[in-house]
Amino acid sequence: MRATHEGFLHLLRGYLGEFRVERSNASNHFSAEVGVDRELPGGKLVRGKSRLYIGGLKIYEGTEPDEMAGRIISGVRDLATQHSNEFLRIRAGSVELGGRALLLPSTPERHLPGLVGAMVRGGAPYLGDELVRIDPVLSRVHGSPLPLLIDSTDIALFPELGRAPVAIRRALLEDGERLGARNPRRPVRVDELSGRAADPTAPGWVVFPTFKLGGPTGLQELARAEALFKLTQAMLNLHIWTDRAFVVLQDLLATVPTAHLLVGSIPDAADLLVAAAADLGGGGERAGDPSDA
Amino acid sequence: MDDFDPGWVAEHHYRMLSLSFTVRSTDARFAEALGWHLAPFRRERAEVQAFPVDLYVQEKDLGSEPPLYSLFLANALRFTAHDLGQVLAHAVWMLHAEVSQRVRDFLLVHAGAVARDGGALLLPAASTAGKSSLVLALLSRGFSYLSDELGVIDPVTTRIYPFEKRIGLDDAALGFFDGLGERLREPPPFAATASKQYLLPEDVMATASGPVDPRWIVFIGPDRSGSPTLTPLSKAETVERIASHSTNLYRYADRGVILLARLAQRAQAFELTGGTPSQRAACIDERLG
Repeated sequence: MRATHEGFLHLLRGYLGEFRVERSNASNHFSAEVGVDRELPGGKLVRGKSRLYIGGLKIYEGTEPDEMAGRIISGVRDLATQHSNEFLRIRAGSVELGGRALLLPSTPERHLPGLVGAMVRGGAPYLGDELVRIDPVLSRVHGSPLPLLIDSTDIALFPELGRAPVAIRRALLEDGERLGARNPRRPVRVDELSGRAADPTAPGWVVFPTFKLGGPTGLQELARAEALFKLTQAMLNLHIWTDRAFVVLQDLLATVPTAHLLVGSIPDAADLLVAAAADLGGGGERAGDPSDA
Repeated sequence: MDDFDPGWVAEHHYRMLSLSFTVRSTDARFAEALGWHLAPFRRERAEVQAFPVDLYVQEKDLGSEPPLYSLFLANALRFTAHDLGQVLAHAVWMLHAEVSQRVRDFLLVHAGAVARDGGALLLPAASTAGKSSLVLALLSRGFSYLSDELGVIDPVTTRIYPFEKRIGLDDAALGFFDGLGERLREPPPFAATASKQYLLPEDVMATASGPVDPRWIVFIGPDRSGSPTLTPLSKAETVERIASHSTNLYRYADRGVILLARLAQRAQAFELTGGTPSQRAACIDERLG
């Protein structure tokens, strides 16, 4: 990582400091051209525009260093996990509830990390905000050591972070496709939410969220066949595992309850999941300990 | 695939376990010969995230006589030679080596592997211990073929999957099989310059096997003197020994040891010493029934 301003590297160290090494022969270079704010005559502040490149490819342009850090962490996560095919990689949020992993598989969904963050703030140990890995040997969910990447429009749900909401033009807000493509997200460390990371955990409950903010929030039944279809859709390396993935996913779904979650309000959905998991008795019944060799 | 085209005359798609690639060549003989070696892995269409394997004469080398061929893997230059037979041998070696290095969704063990009655016999051994010749001798006795190089263990089910590459024998090993050299079908292109003979299971009237449960593990010892002997091994020793033959155990960390313990639990294990390939195969056949 290199930047035109030391302050940005300092900001990034706050999120990735534990992974820092003195030397590297890395072939992937992130280069940040950090914008400098200017004050115009009359006192008006003009935010400097920052740009981020990987190799020669521009992957971010904007005025928020925090969002640029989020873009880097997102890229790092992709680079670090894209070849980890000893796991089944699933696009899903996940926390530990009652000693079992709640899996929230989803199509690409910008509000999913916010839902995970709300549960982490509520005391659920953190596994992943939108990517988890399932170990095919012990059937445990492995999480990510990287910060959550919470959508800029959801950061206001976490006032304790003291992050000023990013101003997003109304036209962009109303254009979900464009907003999703811009993908403005801000890194949040687990400890900033007074949470902690979970160790690899056996799955206990699989819930497929659909976000329609402003609408009702509630859990609905989901047939196992549909759950298998949706879980397969959320799998990121199905082309590697092919038919064998279905064995793993079918076994997983045969041992845990499944549900569909309508999310009209992120805080309400987080509370509902925590309460429902408690009713399930720690995330559902399982036959035997999967670590038994 | 990119738009780069130095005059491709062939484009073939392959998948070796989960390793997918597309071979492009400006020389039809090279494509045909590599196609013979990789025939069990051929696919009709390009697979997702397939990487390119390209053979062509670079622009700076145009006009050289004989032509200087360059072999690229994932756009990185890996080998150059005037002799197309040498390039072919390197390509075959390189692609098999890539499987060991890149495949992570299976636990891989340096081993021969054959099957009978729905059970797999793994033959872990060092490179020159005689895996291929023992595999061929077992195929001659009615076993079916999984691999002469890799034991492919599915971490989900511990089943042994086929990696049905051509069986490579040097002349010394071929000498153990009376008359086999004369019975072989027409050799593939460039066979005359190859350091090994390559065989198919069909050459000894054998067939290829699908995935099967592990049933026996026979570690081939270095001692070939005297009559063949099979010595039973404990489960703990089996795990320790097979771990030492794995090429990607480190990817699985502690979970890999648990997987190997499951494998050892499901299979009888022995050490094999002494004997020629045919004698060894007869000993195994008799003992394992």
